[in-house]
Amino acid sequence: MSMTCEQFQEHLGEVLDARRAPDDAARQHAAECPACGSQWDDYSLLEAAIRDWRSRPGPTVDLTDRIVAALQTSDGTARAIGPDRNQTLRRQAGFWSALVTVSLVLIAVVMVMRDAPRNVARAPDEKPAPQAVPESLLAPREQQVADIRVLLSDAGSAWYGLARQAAVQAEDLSVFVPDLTGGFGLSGSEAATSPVKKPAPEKDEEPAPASGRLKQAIDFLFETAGAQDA
Amino acid sequence: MTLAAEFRFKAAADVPVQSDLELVELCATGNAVAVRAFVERYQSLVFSLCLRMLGHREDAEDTVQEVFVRVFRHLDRWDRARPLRPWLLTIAANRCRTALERRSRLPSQNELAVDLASERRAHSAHQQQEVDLGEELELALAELREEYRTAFVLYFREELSYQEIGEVLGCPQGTVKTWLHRARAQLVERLRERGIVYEISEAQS
Repeated sequence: MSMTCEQFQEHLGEVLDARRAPDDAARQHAAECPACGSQWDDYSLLEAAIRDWRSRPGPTVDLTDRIVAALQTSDGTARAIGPDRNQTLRRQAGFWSALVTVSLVLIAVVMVMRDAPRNVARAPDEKPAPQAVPESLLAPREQQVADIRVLLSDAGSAWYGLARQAAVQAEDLSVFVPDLTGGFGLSGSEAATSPVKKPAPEKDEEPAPASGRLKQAIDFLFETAGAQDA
Repeated sequence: MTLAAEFRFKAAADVPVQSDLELVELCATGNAVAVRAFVERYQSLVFSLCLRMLGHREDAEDTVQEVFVRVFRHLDRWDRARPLRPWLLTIAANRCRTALERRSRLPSQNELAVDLASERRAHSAHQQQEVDLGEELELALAELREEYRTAFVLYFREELSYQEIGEVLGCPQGTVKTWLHRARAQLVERLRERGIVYEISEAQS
């Protein structure tokens, strides 16, 4: 049974999508219809060319030695194909940063609570019993605020020390970071002969904190202390 | 026998034909022989795509090296439930696009024709027919837009599905179909211009 032109068009589309041979009915219609016959000629020509083209060997290349050398030069093969150690380090640094932040906030909250006046429920006609005034409350308000500032400053220094240590470790592993080494852009011979360059540490520069969470907490506490002071 | 050749022989002996998954798992353990076998298995696939996208042999070789370094670094990101080749080709296509941006110009048709012609000369000793359809198609392909050419190669040579090509090239399936349709139309047009259609029609009749 012969096809209509519309069926022929639809069938040819299906043939291309499914990568299969056309039906005999389509071939028959193409032989009878000049317009579809021209399209059939185009289709047949291109399919023949594609078959020939696919049978040709692709471009050959042997970059095995070069690629293996690049892997060994940049990372060491075992490291290169293992988990991303920079990512692991970042996770560890993030965990410790969060832990230090939480600890600092807890310490500050405990201090504030300890110094705050306490409301004790008692009977209406009961007179408050004389209590010993805590020594910390005897100090001037300015002194208390100053103490909090010193404590937070010390804690911040400890956190910066931790961040510095993490930065040094990350620097030791910097060979995994293409932007730091630039090694991946090297050709094979260059990669084989060029040592991996590590960025020189800047000793006088304080490492920037990896997260703004601690800074936010410290700023908040300073603002609170400042408000109480005012 | 040189040391390199000896090592190659040893590698072939130590790592018999394995599935992609087995080979990748071996690579993930740091097995250097497996890494070598992996590179040998897939370098031609990656190089073929890079050469066609970049149109320049040296650029393609540099990019292939970048691709494999990146592949081994992110091997744990490959979804083991999916085929490996589209994932590899996606990384290769991304690196090629980066290289093209770095070069800030599209590959010159002349460069592509010259490099592909040199490839043909290296492998066409047995193909000295009057009309080499495959070669004519290769020449016509070199004149297509880069995305048409890449989609055509991935569909008809690497036999990826529309969906896989869409993932590799970062575009919807409908766009892939459109590119393939236009690629076919332009290829036929170029073959016609070379006078191939008449000869083939004659040959088929």
